[in-house]
Amino acid sequence: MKHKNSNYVDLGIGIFVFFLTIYIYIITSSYPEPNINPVAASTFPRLLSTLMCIVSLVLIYRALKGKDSVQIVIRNYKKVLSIIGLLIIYTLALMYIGFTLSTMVLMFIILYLFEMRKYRYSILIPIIAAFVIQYIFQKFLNVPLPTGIFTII
Amino acid sequence: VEEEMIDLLFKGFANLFISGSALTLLTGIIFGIVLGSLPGLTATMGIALLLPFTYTVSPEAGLSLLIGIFAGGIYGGSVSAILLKTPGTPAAGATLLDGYPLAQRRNAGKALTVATISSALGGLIGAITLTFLAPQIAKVALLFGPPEYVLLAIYGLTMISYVSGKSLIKGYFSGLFGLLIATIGLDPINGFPRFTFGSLNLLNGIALLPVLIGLFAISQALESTETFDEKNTTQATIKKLGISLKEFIHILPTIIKSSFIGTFVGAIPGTGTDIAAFLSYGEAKRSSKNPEKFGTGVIEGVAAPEAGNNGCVNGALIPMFTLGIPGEAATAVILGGLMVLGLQPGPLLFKDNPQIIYTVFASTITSNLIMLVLGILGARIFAKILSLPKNIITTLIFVFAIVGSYSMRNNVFDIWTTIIFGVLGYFMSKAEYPIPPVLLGMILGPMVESNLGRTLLISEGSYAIFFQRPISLFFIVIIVFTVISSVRKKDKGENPVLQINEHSEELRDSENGI
Repeated sequence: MKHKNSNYVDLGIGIFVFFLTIYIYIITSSYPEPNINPVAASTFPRLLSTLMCIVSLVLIYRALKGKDSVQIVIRNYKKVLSIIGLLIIYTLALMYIGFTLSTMVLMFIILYLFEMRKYRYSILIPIIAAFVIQYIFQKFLNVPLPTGIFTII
Repeated sequence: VEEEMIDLLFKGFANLFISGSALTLLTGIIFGIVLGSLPGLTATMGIALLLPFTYTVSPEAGLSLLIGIFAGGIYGGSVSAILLKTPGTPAAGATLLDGYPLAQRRNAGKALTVATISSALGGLIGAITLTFLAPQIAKVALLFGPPEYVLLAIYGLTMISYVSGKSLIKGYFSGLFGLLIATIGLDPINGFPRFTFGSLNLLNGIALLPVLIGLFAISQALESTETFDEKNTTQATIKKLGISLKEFIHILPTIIKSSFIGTFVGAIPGTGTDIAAFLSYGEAKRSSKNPEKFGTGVIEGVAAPEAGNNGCVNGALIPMFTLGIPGEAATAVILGGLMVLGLQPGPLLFKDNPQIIYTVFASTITSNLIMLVLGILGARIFAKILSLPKNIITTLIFVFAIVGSYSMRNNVFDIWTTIIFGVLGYFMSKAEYPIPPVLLGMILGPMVESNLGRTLLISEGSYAIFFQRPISLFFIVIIVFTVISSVRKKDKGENPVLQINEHSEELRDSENGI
């Protein structure tokens, strides 16, 4: 279990976004001036970042006052973070070793994280799923999935 | 004019079968019921997950698929509300109040039958209202010019106040975040690249589909990950299905009244199926001869929210199709789907593509009949869905979400977008920053900007044009009224949905002995 005081969460977000809006202002200052149309490329982003700046200041103020305090509780946070990491690795793997094998491995590991210890299922399900999904997308939807050195069909 | 409409509607029904929409509709409804009945998986997520499949079929078939998931998902939520005391979707939150006590008294079959009949009738009344009302609204909307569209989109954005949960400021934050995301890419007026940092992938902006899949599928699946080790609660068993004619006649007035409440609530942008369900329940209780019996397991208590939320499904489609304004998350995703299909929502859709729109109407009407048949014949099967291994489904959702986002443009960049928005959405909802406003911002932002450009071109730079046109003046009044009333309401903490959610959580907690 992870406990954090939300005041710091909102405070952090508020401060980060405050500087982000200033950054947006700086970038947009180099955008071309309006010519025919009074709405220039920078007009709308600047309007939005001004509003966002106000919102971030209100957020900071409320956070310092301790309003809207919520606790961020992430159950099984190690598994959640592992899955996020796995998804990133999976996306990279898709490009190199193709859809079939990477999907099987990804599913096997996620099922393992979910404490699926019946290996009959945790091996069979990924294999079947990988082929079925590939079949649906390639034959039915005509979408070629990434292939790689281990692509089987 | 009326004759022409009826004629178009008949053609729509014929086209339902010719275009294959009947089949995609059936698929959508089944998929929706499965996802909707599984707690933690929502109709919105189902729509996002199946969006990639829509552009391989005709637009009407694709839309029928999405609408089927929406209707089926909202109905499916009642199955777990009754049998597990856990609403499968937030919209079924009010259903469990009387549905579960009924199930405890070995009347689960009766409760499910009432839920099915009420959902189907509620949906049917909603669908018929949609069919006859939407073209009229579209006709009025054809009079809109760029200034009206600017204000209409701003009005849509004020709806953020209603979909933002506890904190108004966090809702505005999410909305502005979505608006800013939408400014990435070539600007719609001058074609100047903004915030692209030299990336070719960013030149066309952040694509809507991967964002939708990330925000509504990946983040939900991550949330399910947290509870992977939770044991299934014991499920009530279905003894006997069906209700007597006397009982049907007894609940019929409640169903009809709730259907209209639901449809009306749905037609107001910014409300949702959960609000519709709660208001219908509240009204049924208020006007009942024995209000004290509500909550102990009366069938009207199941009929009202179920008729209300399925009426709302169709009501919510009215502003989406006619004005291009999404009312809540699910319609926002369907709106995204329309755009992916290359259709511009709004009055022109009715003028340029009557065949598509009337097929969709036929499909909304038919969906309720399908739901009725499936719900009665398949109740026992759908009850079995609840014992499906949730962890395997969550695993599959991760894979489907990633492959789905890749499939639109065969582009790995879209997968990264999905993952980033999935993780972002997950942490945002953890910190109580609402997700639907992000979507509203992303969809309505470009509408505001491009129409503002057009407006000021017409008026040669003068903002006075907004006050010189009657319809736009009318919108300004509505916007001001909405903003003021929402701020005042938040201060008083009046939010029926929050109250009902807290109520149902209390119920659940007391059951689990927490």
